[in-house]
Amino acid sequence: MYISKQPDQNSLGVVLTALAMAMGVSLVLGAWNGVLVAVIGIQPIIATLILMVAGRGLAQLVTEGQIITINSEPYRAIGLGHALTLPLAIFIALAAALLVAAFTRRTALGMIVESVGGNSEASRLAGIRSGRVVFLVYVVSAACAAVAGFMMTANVSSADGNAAGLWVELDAILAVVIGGTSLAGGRFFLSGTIIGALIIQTLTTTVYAMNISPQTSLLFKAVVVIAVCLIQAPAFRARFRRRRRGTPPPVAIADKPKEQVPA
Amino acid sequence: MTDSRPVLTMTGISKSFPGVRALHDVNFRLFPGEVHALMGENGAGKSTLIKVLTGVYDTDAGTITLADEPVSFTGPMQATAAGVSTVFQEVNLCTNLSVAENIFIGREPRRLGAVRWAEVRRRARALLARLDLDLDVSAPLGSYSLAIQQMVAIARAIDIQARVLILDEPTSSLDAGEVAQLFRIMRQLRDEGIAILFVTHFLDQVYEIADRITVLRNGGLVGEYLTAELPQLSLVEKMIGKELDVLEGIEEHARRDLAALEEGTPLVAVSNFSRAGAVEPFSLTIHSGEVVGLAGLLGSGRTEVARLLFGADRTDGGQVAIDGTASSLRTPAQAIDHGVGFCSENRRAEGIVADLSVRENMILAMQAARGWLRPIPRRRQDELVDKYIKALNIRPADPEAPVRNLSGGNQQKVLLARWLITEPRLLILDEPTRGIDIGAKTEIQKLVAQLSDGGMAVLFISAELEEVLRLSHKVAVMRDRQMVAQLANDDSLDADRIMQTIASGSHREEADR
Amino acid sequence: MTTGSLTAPRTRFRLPRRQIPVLATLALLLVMYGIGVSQYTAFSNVQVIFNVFIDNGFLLVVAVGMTFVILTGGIDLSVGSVVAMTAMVSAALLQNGMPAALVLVIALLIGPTLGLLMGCAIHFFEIQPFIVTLAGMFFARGMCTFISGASIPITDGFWTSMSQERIGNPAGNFVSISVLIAFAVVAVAAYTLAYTRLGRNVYAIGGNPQSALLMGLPVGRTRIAVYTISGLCSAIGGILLSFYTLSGAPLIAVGMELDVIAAVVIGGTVLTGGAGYVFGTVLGVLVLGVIQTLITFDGSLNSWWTKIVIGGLLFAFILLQRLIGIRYK
Ligand SMILES: Nc1ncnc2c1ncn2[C@@H]1O[C@H](COP(=O)(O)OP(=O)(O)OP(=O)(O)O)[C@@H](O)[C@H]1O
Ligand SMILES: [Mg+2]
Repeated sequence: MYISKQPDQNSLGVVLTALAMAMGVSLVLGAWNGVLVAVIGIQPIIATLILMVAGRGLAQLVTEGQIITINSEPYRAIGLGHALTLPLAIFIALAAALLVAAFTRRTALGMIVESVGGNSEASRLAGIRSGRVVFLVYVVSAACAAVAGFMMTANVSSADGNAAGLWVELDAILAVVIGGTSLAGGRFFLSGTIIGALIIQTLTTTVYAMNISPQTSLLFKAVVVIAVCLIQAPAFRARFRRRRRGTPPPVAIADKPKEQVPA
Repeated sequence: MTDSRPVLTMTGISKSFPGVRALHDVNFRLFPGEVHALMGENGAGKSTLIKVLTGVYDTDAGTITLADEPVSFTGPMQATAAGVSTVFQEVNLCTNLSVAENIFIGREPRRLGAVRWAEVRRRARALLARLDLDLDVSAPLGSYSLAIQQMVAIARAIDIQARVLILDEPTSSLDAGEVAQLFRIMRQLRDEGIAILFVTHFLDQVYEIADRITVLRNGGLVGEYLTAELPQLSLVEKMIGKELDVLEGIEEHARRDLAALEEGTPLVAVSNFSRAGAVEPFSLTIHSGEVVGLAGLLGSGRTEVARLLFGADRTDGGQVAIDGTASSLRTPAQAIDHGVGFCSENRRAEGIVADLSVRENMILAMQAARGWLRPIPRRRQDELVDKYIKALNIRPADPEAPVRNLSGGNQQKVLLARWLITEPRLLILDEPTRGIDIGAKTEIQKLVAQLSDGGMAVLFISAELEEVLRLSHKVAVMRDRQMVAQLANDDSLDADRIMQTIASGSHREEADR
Repeated sequence: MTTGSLTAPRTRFRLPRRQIPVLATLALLLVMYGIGVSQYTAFSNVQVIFNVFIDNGFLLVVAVGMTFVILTGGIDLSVGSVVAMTAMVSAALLQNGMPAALVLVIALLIGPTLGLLMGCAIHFFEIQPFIVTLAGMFFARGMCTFISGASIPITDGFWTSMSQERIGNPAGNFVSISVLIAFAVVAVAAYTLAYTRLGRNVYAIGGNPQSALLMGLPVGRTRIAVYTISGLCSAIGGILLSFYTLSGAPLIAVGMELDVIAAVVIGGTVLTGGAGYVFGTVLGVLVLGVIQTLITFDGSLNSWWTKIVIGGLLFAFILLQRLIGIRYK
């Protein structure tokens, strides 16, 4: 996420080493989160919150509170380069998505992650070493964050230990949840997540492009998010259909959606 | 009794789920002061009928009247308020709350809006005493075994001032003693004029308590009969739609020569396994091809023994040798590596992963053993899954259906399949036939017999002594968390002798080792 | 078949005795305070503790509301923005010359109303709480900037007197009125959770929502109620904040939701719901407050070292808390 590139050379080698080092640091940090959650058993939100606070501090420590400008051409290409007339960033994002998709769906990892998320005790008794799975998940998440960090810093050609990636975690979670994955765990939908991310980014860009004043942009965002989710929510659609069929729900409470109860 | 008017009638009830017609034009009536058994195979629609009645599900068609008033409940809250008290299939309580609270939540005695905790506990103790249970009512419910949780759920239901009491498989993990207690109370309530709807797969229980029987098959109504006029065989016929092949053959299986089996090094030999507060030190050997039954009362430590053998809980001490070499069984993953499988009694909390499909649930253990890097090829998965869906008659036979949508008994079959697929060398089955209909039960018993003939060792736990006797070569008896005896299953062994052993707990001289 | 009375054994899962996490937290908090005292002499002044309460009174109130939500297994991300919105609205209305009493009423109504709406969306449309409350957060924050892009000072007499009133002993130690209000909220919440049906239903839903439904508990009503309660607590928190800062600023309390959630969870409440106490939340807020105080006492740290040290202290604290918890299981 935070890359301090003192040797601002244009040589590819330097860039690659820098990337590798940054990636290495991210993996270590991801492993740290993984250990806290999987081995020590700290609630994930707290475990990762520690790094969220301290990590930013570390980033600032590395940059000494300055915003570091990056002049390396190959590095900037990550954010600004083009290939086949399309921005390179698209390919990177696509590659990341495909890689994760292959990683989860071509192997059994996806199912095992879903199983641990759905019922961790049952998974343990089925012989899944859930600790390892949880650990791995945090490392993967850190790796993806690192790639995102490359893209973000390359795009603006600088690394700001203080502001880079502020509140990205919320946007990222939102994208996942809009994509239909439950925060409680269980089934996940990568394609949904991609769509979710696109929706959020479209939203942000639209807010800029339409020149909506910053005052109302948040309101706008709130409305769109709710609208998207309402359209998705089966309970809402069911109700809407019932209304159109012209059978008004009998009593106000009778309208209550029936919860799914396993037999 | 029968000439009075029914307190509850359901007419023309239909209910479909996406892709499944769970109920089709079903009629049902319930008279005051009767025990009415609702019978049918797994997935016949019994639980769905109950959920439609109590408003958990909407109906697609049909009407329900309660005491001549048409009703349409929006949920159990309303149903309870109208005098319909229900124990749903599976334990539906909150394990994080205390026993007393689970019984009274929603209708706690209060003064000025404040819950009177002392009163809650006092009444909970009194109520449990009626069921002959002596529990620490302020302990969290989760610290008790599934069977006790089931009793607590029953206690909750019978304390509600109700006209109609619905019990969906309340006896599935109870022992004979608890069932007797429950029946005593059911009779008492029946005599007070309460209408009781009772679901079970145990035929003898039906003939012991029920006045009337309604049979469902494949979501349709087969008919309503007086128990006295319906012989057991024709009941079975009506439930499964054909005649049942009897259990011959299995009996002989169990009575084979134990000595021959016990030659050579045991597959698993544990000595002095124990866990504080769960089981006293015990030793047990299991040979390939041997079925060891575990008998004992509720809370005697049967499940605890199984969990230790599987590494689900850590032992405090003791050694284990597998194939004669010292090993360890500290985690489930380790146990599975040694070829041990364990089918838990608590399928909802420890068994199924409700979000996943039938296929995924079935291959889960096998996949876990292979590691995530070596996925099972899809073709192989489909083969295995199809095979067991057929073998165990899982319905609906759709491998991609989410397991949460299956009926209770069918979920149990999926779990069983999960372990059979791994082809373990020792399979620990904790109440494997819990909630399973008679047809499938025979299938499972045959399968166990067949697998042990093929060399697999089985540790078989069941609250039904008959079942244990039918399958096991030797029976280990548990009492007060001690393994008090190991009896060879020869001609002299029968249910009565096991009960005596349990009662006296001093038959060590009969131990065969 | 005679089985006689069953002395039902407690089997498996010996749950840790329920108070242990809270006690461990308390002990660690005392240790941390002790370290503070040994490092800085001024730390032993009782006023230091009072100041922790004064500085974090609004956080405490909001965290109490969040405790309800988290106990049901939900989450409320809108709290920080609602706090800011309440402060903004009060400031703006007071600037327009509205009487203080009326402003109080209006300000206290906004939060619960938004909470009620969010609760309804969560319950009736089955949308995940995370999304709904995130939208609520955007909405409330948007309203703040909509009202004014800049900070609005409050000069109203009632507000200034509330802010300056010191309740103390002759030795010169004091607390502000806000602290008393916060304590009142804590007391009411603790009572509600322990002794009312609403409170018990909150625990039941957090334990197992499906079971709660089948047990005939008012799941929907309770769920809506907790978001309304959280909204109300945020509104009270917003008022307290405006007492404290005597202004309403559009960007105040940004990111506060994370502090609040952290406080609740550090206090031993489980994020998946069903277990936890208000008293734990008080301790959680104190932990954050004491860490903050330790940092200010040091005074030599620059901005990034501050963050690193906060993270480090938090880590040490949680690690110890967890290890003690395991020991006593
Ligand atoms: N929520 C649901 N969604 C989809 N299908 C369902 C759902 N609930 C039940 N079914 C289907 O409806 C049918 C009837 O199920 P039900 O639970 O009523 O069976 P049952 O008679 O109670 O069986 P068991 O003896 O196993 O408990 C089954 O085929 C089941 O798969
Ligand atoms: Mg059923």
